[in-house]
Amino acid sequence: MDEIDFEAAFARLEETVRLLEAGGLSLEQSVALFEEGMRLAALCNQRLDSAELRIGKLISGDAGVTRGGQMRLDALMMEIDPIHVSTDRNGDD
Amino acid sequence: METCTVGELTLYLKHLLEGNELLQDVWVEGEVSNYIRASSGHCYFDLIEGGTVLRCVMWRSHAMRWSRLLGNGASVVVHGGITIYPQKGQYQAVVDLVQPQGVGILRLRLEQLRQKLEEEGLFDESRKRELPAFPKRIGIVTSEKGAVLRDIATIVERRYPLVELILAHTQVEGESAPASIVQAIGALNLLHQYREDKQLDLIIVARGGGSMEDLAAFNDEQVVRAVYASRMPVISAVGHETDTTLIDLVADLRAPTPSAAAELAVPDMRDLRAQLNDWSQRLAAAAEAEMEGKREDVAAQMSALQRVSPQVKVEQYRQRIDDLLAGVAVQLRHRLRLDRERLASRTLQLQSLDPKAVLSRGYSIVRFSGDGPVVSSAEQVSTGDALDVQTAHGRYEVVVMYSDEA
Repeated sequence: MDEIDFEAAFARLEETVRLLEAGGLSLEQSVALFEEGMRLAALCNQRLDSAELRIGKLISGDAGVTRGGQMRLDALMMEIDPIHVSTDRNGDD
Repeated sequence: METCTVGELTLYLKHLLEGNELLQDVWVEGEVSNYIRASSGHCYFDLIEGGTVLRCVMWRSHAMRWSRLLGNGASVVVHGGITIYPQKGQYQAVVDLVQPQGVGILRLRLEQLRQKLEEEGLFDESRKRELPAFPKRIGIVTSEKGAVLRDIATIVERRYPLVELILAHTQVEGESAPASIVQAIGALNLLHQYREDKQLDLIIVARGGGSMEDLAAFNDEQVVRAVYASRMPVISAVGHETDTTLIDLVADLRAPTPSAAAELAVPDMRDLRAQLNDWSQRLAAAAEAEMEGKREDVAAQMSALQRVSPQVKVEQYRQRIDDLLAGVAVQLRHRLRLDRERLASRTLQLQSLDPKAVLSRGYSIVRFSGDGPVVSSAEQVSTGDALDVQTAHGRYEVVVMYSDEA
């Protein structure tokens, strides 16, 4: 369950609601869908609660757009340095 | 000396003109006169200035766009190439662009570039890509200094902090800006292409407000082409709402400000939470409804079952038996009563036949002595027989003196 990404969990949750509302399921299926749906909803909420915005700066030296195989090497060597951007508003620019 | 034909001369002059680079890229100022729009859609007019005339033609495809600026007396600048129309022995300008006089050379070049790129299809709506609903990683092309990055980050943090933002720093104005922007977009695309773990969902190219000169980099041809070539969708957020640069036309989505770009790029957590709540409630309601339905099904089944249940059958049989027994009992009692009555009457009859009753009425029972047989006829006796006489009270013996068979 931990591997599933937010978008997939969100979509699957919607599907469980749709299936359960459509009805015509066996008792086991209904229970299973309900439990799965509640788990997914909890997971989504937890992801939103615990999310922290990450910002990184791409460091690619002077490589930029070079030719041929060098491009791949440059790309693999790209670093993303975490940077902090102060997000408290203090007036417009 | 050689002679040539009119055709040869004309053709020579035509090639002379058309081979001249300058003459194929002229901007000419003048006043419009003799303007005609043919039914074919082509436009024909003269440009006059200082007593001289230049014949002009604009073909339909360009005329559709620029003919609104043409009218007799209009002061315009036209762009085009000079050629010769052999059938009339006339040189003329084939015009592809019209602007009012006074807009300035920069604006003229910009319009020309815009038209060229549009004709290439770079601005086509059909190629614009949809943005993903739940982006995981967003590239930002802007300056690391200044408020733009901060504004974007603030909004994203408030709405949807699940994403990762990757800044590709760039100059946003000045001579080196176009190349810098192209490199930044290129670097993000390289990252996406070669790093599985750093896949980008979209790019935001942003800069704050400024004059047209400040924003000039975002009208650069190479910048536009870089955005067009980007593997992932691009949101342009350059300048204020009223500023339009070419990047706005080629981008997959145009935002009026960098903050608006952030709002367009990510969903709002508040909406997501509301949706999660709604679904949770509906889940519970649907599950409860299902349970109710199941319970009703079971109850109905139980009802049906009961109707055919052996238990019930047994009860029914018991009931039948009880009823039968009860009936039998009634009949028995009836019979019993009849029998009793019969017995009673028989008893009475018997009683009336009781010898003791006969005796008490004065009769006697005569027997031969020694418990012999009863004498019921005179024929049975002879003179001298000893007889036993039983009366109601006691007995005595007698001897027969005389018998009379009668």
